[in-house]
Amino acid sequence: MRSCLRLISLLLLLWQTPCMAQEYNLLMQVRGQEITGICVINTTPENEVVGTVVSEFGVKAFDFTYANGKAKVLNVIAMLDKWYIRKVLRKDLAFILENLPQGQDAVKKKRSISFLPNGDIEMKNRRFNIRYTFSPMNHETDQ
Amino acid sequence: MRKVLIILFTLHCSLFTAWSQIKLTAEQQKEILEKVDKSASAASSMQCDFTQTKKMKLLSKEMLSKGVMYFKRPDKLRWQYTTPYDYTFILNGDKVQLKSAKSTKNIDVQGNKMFRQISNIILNSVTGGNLKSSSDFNVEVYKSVEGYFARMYPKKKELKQIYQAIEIYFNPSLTMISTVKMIEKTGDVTIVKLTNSKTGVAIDEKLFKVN
Repeated sequence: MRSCLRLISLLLLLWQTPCMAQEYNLLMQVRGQEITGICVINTTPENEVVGTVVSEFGVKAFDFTYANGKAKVLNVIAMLDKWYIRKVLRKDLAFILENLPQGQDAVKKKRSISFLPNGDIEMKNRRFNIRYTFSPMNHETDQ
Repeated sequence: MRKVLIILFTLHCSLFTAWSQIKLTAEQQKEILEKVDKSASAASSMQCDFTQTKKMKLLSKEMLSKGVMYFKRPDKLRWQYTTPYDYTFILNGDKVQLKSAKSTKNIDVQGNKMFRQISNIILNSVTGGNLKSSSDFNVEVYKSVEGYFARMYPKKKELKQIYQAIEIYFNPSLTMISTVKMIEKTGDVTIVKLTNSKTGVAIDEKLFKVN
């Protein structure tokens, strides 16, 4: 019984580990088409990132994780679930999440990221003509 | 030992609440849905506030947003998020406008199958109409401690790919929708609670204007 209670305490401790969650309004411009949504990014103290992109109505577009310089795209909504879309998203997200903590403009091959004076973060993929604009929402929550 | 008993009791109560849903017979279901349909048909207009809670499985996090809704029979709807983001969905007949802080998009619903279905879900979720003869869903009605609710299973491929089920909870007098719960295939759940609902109120036509 004592070991069981110890296990429960340990699980509770792990559950209460603080993660910083930041919410963004996301605007994706893809070859003249515009898609908007909400992007939530959680960073653990170990610098692992877990995030999600949902529509304003709450429907999930996809989840993503980022660790050791690599991004994974998970649970992609059926209409976007094509290998070439997943590949572009994975690489664009890896570039964004690599540069997000530094908060400095950066360029790498056909990708660039800019931190605008109004607080927006703009990432351009010139190869596929995609632009992502992340506008931070005015609240940050501890989990 | 006392703590263990308390935990067991709490667990028992939670399980009891979860299981205390009784599926109605086909006849009972028909009767309930007819009452809801009658109320929905009688409401020429409706306005309310809403609170949307998105429970994200992967992030173990909840996202809260709030807004206002206006509806005018037969097919005018304004669904507007006011906090923490500005986003407005306007449905006016066959036209839809999606407006965010940085983008405005007009869509012809007739030419977009997916949007036609989404618009129908929103309209029916708000009014409770068309539940008894839904072409998009298989509907089951349950009675729980919170009252009656309809559990809708999508029939069509496009919706099946997104939703496991949608639950619509009615107020005790079966005249209005109180909560809509959307359960996604990924395990995420979105709960929309409608509050301060008023029916038969005058609503300015400008609110449904699609530019």
